Amino acid sequence: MSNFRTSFKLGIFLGTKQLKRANRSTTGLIIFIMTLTFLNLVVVSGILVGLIVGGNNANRDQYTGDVIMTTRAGKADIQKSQDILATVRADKNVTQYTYRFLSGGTVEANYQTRTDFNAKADTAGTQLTGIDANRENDFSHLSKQVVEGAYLDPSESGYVVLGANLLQRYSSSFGDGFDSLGGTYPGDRVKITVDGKTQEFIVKGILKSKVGDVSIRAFVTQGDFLRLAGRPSLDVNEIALRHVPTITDEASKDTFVRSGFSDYAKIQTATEAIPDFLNQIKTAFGVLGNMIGAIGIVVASITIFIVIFINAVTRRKYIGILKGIGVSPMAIQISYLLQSMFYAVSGSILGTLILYGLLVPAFNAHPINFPFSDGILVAEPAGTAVRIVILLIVTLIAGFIPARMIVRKNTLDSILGR
Amino acid sequence: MINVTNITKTFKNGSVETHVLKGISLRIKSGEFVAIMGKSGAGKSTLMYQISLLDHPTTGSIEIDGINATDLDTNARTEFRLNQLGYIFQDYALLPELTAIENVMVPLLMQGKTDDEAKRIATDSLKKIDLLHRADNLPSQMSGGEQQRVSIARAVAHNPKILFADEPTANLDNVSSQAVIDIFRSLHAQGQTIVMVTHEKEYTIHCDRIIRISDGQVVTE
Ligand SMILES: Nc1ncnc2c1ncn2[C@@H]1O[C@H](COP(=O)(O)OP(=O)(O)O)[C@@H](O)[C@H]1O
Ligand SMILES: [Mg+2]
Repeated sequence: MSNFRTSFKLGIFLGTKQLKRANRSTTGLIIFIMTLTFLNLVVVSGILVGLIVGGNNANRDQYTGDVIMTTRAGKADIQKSQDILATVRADKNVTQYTYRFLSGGTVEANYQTRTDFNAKADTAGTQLTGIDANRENDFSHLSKQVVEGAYLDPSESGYVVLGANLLQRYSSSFGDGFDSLGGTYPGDRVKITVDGKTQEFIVKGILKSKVGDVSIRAFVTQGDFLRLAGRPSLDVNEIALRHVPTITDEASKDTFVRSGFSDYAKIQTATEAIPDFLNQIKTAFGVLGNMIGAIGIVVASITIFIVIFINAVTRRKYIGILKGIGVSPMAIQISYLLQSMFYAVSGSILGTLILYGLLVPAFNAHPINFPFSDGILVAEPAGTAVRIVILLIVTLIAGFIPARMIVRKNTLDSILGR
Repeated sequence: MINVTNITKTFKNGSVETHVLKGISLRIKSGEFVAIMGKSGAGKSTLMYQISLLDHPTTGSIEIDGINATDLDTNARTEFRLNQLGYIFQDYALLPELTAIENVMVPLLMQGKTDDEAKRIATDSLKKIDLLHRADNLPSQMSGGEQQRVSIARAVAHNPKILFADEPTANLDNVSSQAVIDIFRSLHAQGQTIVMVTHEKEYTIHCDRIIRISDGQVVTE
């Protein structure tokens, strides 16, 4: 064991001197490569995860809240809505809630300028959504999503706010499957039809949300909705709520399930209500992120392997001399392990500084604008730490193998260069 | 001290066999300064590698200080070289990224000496060859003669039983060569056993004995 300690000490001695007197720009270049490798490992998967997290956040903030109750399949609305709402209101754990009336329908635009009545009318399918405008805005900040015109004023009647996906100019890129309206700006008139009943509304504003379900809706005040739809009851179609941070979404959901409300509504946590497509993308991105990460690890190990291999090969004569004068192979290998560790640790430190000092704040300030998400860079410290450890271990192995290959060569052959 | 009995060395390269050493026996006593001479290609270096345990002879045996070196395994040989032998190579063989004093410290550290101890001994060693002022120079910042003297300091700092030198003056000018030979002479005067390969007659005048090699055999002693 004292033998190992001696070898270890000498290995550190030799390794430090080599690093200290190595060519500065070569060392800088290797550390730069390690930094990029580290960032590749963390940032690429972090952005992929961040896109999904951004999408999930948008869903939670602008649509579902923490728990959402929706109309059961085959039903027109949530029965006993007022009982449920009373319970929600009374629940001390609920901090905020909203409710929405929904009805499938169509919007028609440009009917006043239409000249050829044989041509297809300019219509688009929508979910007409009746809301308590102020309550909904407090809950989902809809007014912030308004990109043209203004948000609904609860004291006015006869106005509609259209989701941007109903309009050709916003949705043309990916809305080919849907009909969408041409033209149509705030101040224009549109005809909205639900259950065979039609009424004219003035477009108050256009809103564009990262949540697809929101951007396809047409929002009117609940008064206008009830008048047009002529519903026999005040039963709503959606109830969304937020709870205190001390309980989980599941616990909050359970309160309502235990009250028996799942007989009347489909009750889901925000996570359960994440649209299928997001979950599918998430799985795909997860695989993609791991693949890119794995490639990054392979690239890092090859880089270190080559660096150490070239270093050891060009110094083969000196390695031979060291062994010749009685230095243990262990000490020489440790000198190389120290060097590869130095590169990996420097790269990781530099990478971590860039990551948390530069990239994460930059992405938070300027998220990637995706149709379904404001993509941020997710880099959990624990995940980053795991990646650093993986990088260090891989580097250790990648540095050890070439060093060992060269150190094992015959001593005299190495000295004589044959 | 060294007892070489009938060693041969044959290199095989595919089907070609080169018999370089053809049965060499010799004895070197403790404290002797021995020169090995012979024409280029005679087998001097090859012989030296065998007796200094850098290589294995094809047949025959080598005994150093009562230990049969041909029986030792790789690790034991490495340790033996570290503790009992010192080496001086024709091209100095200093580690380029270590300063003069650091080069001298390497074998001392490997022996388990502390940094301070190794530094103290290395300083003494450099002082003896009058190179203390070069202690912090890298090999690239020293002349060939200076480098060879540092390599002598490295070879003897740990008081080896035998010092081996393969043409230590071949790359040096006359003045530097003379300086190296003078150091050998004073080491010899202190009782150091030295085996030196050379082909320059003038540097053998202080030797106790000359062993002449020709075509892989000892011609005269
Ligand atoms: N590894 C080897 N394979 C084949 N021949 C070798 C090898 N090493 C040395 N020789 C041959 O052995 C002979 C003696 O070499 P060497 O001991 O270096 O001579 P010297 O040091 O006396 O000049 C030379 O002819 C050389 O070519
Ligand atoms: Mg020779």
